[in-house]
Amino acid sequence: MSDHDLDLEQTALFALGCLNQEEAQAARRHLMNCTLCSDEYALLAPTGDALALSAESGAQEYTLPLRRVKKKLLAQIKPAKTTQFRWYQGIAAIACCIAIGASFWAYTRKSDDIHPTSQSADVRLSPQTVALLLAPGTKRYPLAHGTVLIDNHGLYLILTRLPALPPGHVFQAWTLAKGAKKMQPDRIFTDSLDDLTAIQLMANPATTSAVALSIEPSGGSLQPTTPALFVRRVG
Amino acid sequence: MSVNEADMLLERIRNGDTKAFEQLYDRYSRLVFGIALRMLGDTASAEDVLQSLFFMLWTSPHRYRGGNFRAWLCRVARNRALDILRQRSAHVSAELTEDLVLDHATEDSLNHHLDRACVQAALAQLPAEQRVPIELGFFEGIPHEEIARRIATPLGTVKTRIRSGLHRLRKFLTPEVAP
Repeated sequence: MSDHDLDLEQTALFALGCLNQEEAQAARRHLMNCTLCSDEYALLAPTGDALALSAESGAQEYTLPLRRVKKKLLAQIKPAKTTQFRWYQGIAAIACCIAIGASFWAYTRKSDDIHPTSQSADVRLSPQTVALLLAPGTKRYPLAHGTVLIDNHGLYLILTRLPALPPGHVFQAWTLAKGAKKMQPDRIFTDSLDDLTAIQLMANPATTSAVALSIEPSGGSLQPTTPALFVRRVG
Repeated sequence: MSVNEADMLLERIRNGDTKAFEQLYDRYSRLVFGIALRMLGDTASAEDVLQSLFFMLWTSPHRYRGGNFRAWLCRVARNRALDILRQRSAHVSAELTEDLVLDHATEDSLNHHLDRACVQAALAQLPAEQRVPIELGFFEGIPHEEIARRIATPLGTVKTRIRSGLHRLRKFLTPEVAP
């Protein structure tokens, strides 16, 4: 067996992907300077790639995990439908609030776990959100510019005066499950500077111990890539 | 789905088209999941690979720089599974290059027309002494020295069998793509 036969064998191993790191680098360098081995690689690399096709899942039993992952992905990539409450939309809500009367104001003014910014914004919220705020069982966790709300049905982020987003970026919410060490990606959304944003997060409120928000590249991230705008312990 | 169709879907994905993303997922998720499951052996880890890979396709579609998309996807899936295997064991081989534009092997049309059944049939025709080291190397990411140790065969013999096995496999697969 010639020395070059050894090189050709090494090339086959490289094409299959079973060389260690150093050997792979050496093989790559050799291929750049050796036509014979380069031709061998061109012949065998697609054969190696074709091996992967034999693993394609054909079994119906895997339909469920595939659907599960698809659902998670779509939740990650589709911006959450944000409910933006503007002044003109808030007329009905204001009327509703007036009807609710002074007891509402007394309640909210006494409550020191809602940020003042949120209070003034709350007047413009929809009747449903006002009802949510008034419900005795709703837990409120104030933020510098908003509130995290938790009731039996969900986990909500009420945010105002968010910073302007750089082009190609989105806001992304994160949740930490109780006992977990890693934040999980939640809703992504875009919002303009002066809008009030109310979104329902995907995480289960019963098992969530913290909520965070960061600015991420468009489409969101699997892990936060920028410092959090806030991290709020809840529950 | 042809290579051009995949390229067109990726172009739409670059423009934020979620329907295109769904179509791409529906077409290729079984392949990615299958590779990960075969290499990692558990559904949860395979789901992680599937999710992270497709999320990367959404956020960084430019990572695919052309060539045979399916072959590229297979390499990325294998490399991601290798990352997990590497956390489990020290005996894991190097990653395959993902830049098919620079890898002239992508010019080969072999991979375009094959499917699971014909590759499985071709593999079944290989003698076990060639098939086993090839499968250990590819699906378990085991470097050749470790393969030799596991199957108690001299290293030189393992190398020769892998090379001759790949040539034989190519021969079995090539009639499928003969013009």
